[in-house]
Amino acid sequence: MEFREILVIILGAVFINNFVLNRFLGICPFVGVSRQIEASIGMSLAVVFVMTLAGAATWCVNKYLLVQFDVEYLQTVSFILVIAALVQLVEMFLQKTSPVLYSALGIYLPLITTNCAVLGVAVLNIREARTFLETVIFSASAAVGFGIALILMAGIRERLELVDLPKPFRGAPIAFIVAALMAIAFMGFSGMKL
Amino acid sequence: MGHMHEFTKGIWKENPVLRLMLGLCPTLAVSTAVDNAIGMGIAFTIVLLGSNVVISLIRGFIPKQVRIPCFIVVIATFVTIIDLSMHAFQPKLHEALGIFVPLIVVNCIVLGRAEAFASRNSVFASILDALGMGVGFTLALFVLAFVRELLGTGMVTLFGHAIVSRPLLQPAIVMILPPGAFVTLGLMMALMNKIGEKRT
Amino acid sequence: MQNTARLVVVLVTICVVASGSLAFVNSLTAERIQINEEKETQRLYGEALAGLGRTVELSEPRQVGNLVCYEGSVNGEPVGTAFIVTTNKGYGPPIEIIVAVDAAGDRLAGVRIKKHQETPGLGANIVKVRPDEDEPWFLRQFKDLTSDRILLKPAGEIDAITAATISSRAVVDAVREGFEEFARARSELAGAQ
Repeated sequence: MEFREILVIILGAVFINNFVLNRFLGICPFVGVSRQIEASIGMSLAVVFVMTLAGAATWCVNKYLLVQFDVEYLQTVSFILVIAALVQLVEMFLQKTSPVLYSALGIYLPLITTNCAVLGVAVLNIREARTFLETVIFSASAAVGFGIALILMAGIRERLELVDLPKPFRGAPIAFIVAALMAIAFMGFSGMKL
Repeated sequence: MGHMHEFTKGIWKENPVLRLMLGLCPTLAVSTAVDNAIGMGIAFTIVLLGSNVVISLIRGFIPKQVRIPCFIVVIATFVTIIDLSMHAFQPKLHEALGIFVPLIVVNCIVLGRAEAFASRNSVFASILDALGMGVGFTLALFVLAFVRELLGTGMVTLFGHAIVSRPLLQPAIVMILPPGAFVTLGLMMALMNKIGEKRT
Repeated sequence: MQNTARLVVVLVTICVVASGSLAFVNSLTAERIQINEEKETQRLYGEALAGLGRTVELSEPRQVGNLVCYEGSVNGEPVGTAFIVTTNKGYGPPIEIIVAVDAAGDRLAGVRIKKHQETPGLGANIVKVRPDEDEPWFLRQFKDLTSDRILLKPAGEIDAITAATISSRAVVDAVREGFEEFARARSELAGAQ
């Protein structure tokens, strides 16, 4: 695979079709976790790890089980179970190897299971008919895009804490309005011809 | 009737989208057109109803440690049933909603209601809960889609019939794009906060 | 040990029941889904070749150059040839376009979109039908054009969709290139005879 093709996938997933700001995947953690930069960085790393593995694993499940046995209608059920199992494994792995990171992520880790970005990337890889290598690159890039959006949002929200906002806007509403501005900014990437 | 409250809470006080802030992904993505919003609302309500009923029925048999995987399988089954049915009987809607049909399985509302309510309450109460949440979700989606479609395209079409067709202003395309989704939802939430404030 | 066994049994039972019910629902819907898709493709070919509401018979596929072509006829009368072109110059994944050339072979009979994932409200308007009309306005523009006019205005005849130049241009270029390829391959065939 040419380097250029790889670059197209990466830039496409990180900037042009950013998972959060363009495809609307991963909004719940995007709003829920982005209050602090540190939590956001931790969550982003976890998501990159999980999404890449999940993309690869579900691709294999699809190719060697679902298509093989002609049971593609079991895609949703099998994918979500694979993801849930993967998150569980990641949790146990982190608990043993890095208790600090584990306790920092706290409740966010199991929440990655219901992060629509994870199941979303799994389904998109199949729908957009990617090869295994493309799947891994795309999944990782999509997660990086999610992380970038998350960390940027956290940076802005930390500053917003110091500002005197009208009461109805505090918390989620202002976060969405900030997200709107970020989305407009990211739209600037859409003209990129690679 | 004491039970009516299980139904009405999902519409305003515990509106899953605007108050509990769950199920945001499909809300933003699908609200580009009123048709899609209503279609998604109905699909979601059916899934929620089905999974709430089944989980409530078998709640005595599910051991606590594996309850989440069990819930997930039940929910995923209903999502697939809706996915296949929609593909067969409403292919245009199915294509419009795209990946957000299978994504109903990770819609935190469904898993949330299963865990917080259906696994602990009677079937009847679970039905009311599901209907209430479903109506609340659909309503939030509908209002969001109505605003976005009206301001973004100048008209609103419902199942092929134009219900608002004289554009008062030049349509602002940004409304049907992601920024429009975010800003409309943010303003709606702020509005609800303001109204909630006034009541207390 | 007792407990673990119970956990496994419950989980497996639920999975089996779930798979069973899904297999059942699938058997009910799979055929219909297939038929829907085939009917839809047939309809699109028909509309591209002969306009709306006409029943068009399609011939067996024939290879012309690197295009797979179908001859269409209404009541035995040939109305043109249709083939599919794909472009990935759109916004999203590749767009599949049905191009129909008239019986004489020098003008377009019609264009239809078989499959696309362009942005709703923008690129997706390549298939948008205005409320009081009966076919997508963007595609209607292609009818009766010769290949040198298949360009965006002012060079050609096609009005792009506002704010969706990428999708518009992708379709226009794909249609024109497909038409040119068809004309070239056809004259080669004719020349060879």
